[in-house]
Amino acid sequence: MLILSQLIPTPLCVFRIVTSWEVKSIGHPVVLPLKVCEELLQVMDESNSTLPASMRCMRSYEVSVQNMSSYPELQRRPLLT
Amino acid sequence: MDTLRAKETYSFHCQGCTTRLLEDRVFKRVLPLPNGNWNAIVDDWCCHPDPFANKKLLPRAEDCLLGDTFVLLARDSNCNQTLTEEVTSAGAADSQDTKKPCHRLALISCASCSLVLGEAVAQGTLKLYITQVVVRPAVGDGKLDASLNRSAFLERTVAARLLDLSNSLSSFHFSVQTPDGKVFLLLWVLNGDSIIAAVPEKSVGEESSISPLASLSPSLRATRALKLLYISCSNARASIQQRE
Repeated sequence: MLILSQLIPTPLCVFRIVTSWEVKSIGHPVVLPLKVCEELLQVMDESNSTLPASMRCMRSYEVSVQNMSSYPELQRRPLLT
Repeated sequence: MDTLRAKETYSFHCQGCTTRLLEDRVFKRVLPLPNGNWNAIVDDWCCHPDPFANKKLLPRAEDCLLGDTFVLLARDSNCNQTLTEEVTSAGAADSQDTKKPCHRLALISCASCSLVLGEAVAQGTLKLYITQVVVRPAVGDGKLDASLNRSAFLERTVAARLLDLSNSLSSFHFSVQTPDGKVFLLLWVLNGDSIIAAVPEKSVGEESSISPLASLSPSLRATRALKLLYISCSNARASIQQRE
């Protein structure tokens, strides 16, 4: 049986994960301007808030579902190899 | 997937206001840049001193260099009318962290709507982020149809980029950082082939009354989605500091 505290990320757990990623240099760097980082977080939080409550968190992480529907601008974007 | 190609003509538009920023750019060379942190492993490959130490990879006049989240281009004379430049101190706000040097960033913004587009990384070189500009082949009048929904553009652009990177690197952990190297967000790509269907709440409530034809309407179509886990570093630090 799952205990409720396992589903809700606590600040300490989150801090431990952040520190662990930093210490082990996990994570390919994706550099964006500060304003864009904030916008991106907002987009993810909005996506998270539309999920059913039981699906919003996974261990200490929050869950986001990013729409990738066909988008004209995407097909023509300057990306990349 | 379309990519920028050499010897084709492109125009660059501001994502915020669709103003054309760079007109009729033709590149002789379009080259990918090495991935982030490439400098750190040069020592493993060279038996002599690092030949790239303290050297930036910069484009020549008709080059376009492609990074993970940006393009590097040479500045031309038209840029002075469409772009503005402002020098800021990126590390100044974080006065507690005295170990890190204060980075000076020359921010490049759209002259029409002031959206930050990128940085001037060296004299005559523009770094434009893919989330801030729209690139179109320069055909017809070259105008964009309409102003694009910002959050939808950002969501789809970043999601597609994360999926590309995770496919090419076989790495599913990403740390979203600001240009001064401060980690802002940790991302873990779980699933690139999820399918989501957005159904209006009203339709769910009246499930029994939906006709088979109504279920085929565009608003009920399933779309591809990227499922990811994330942690905001700024929120985590703030929570810990509050507790202390």
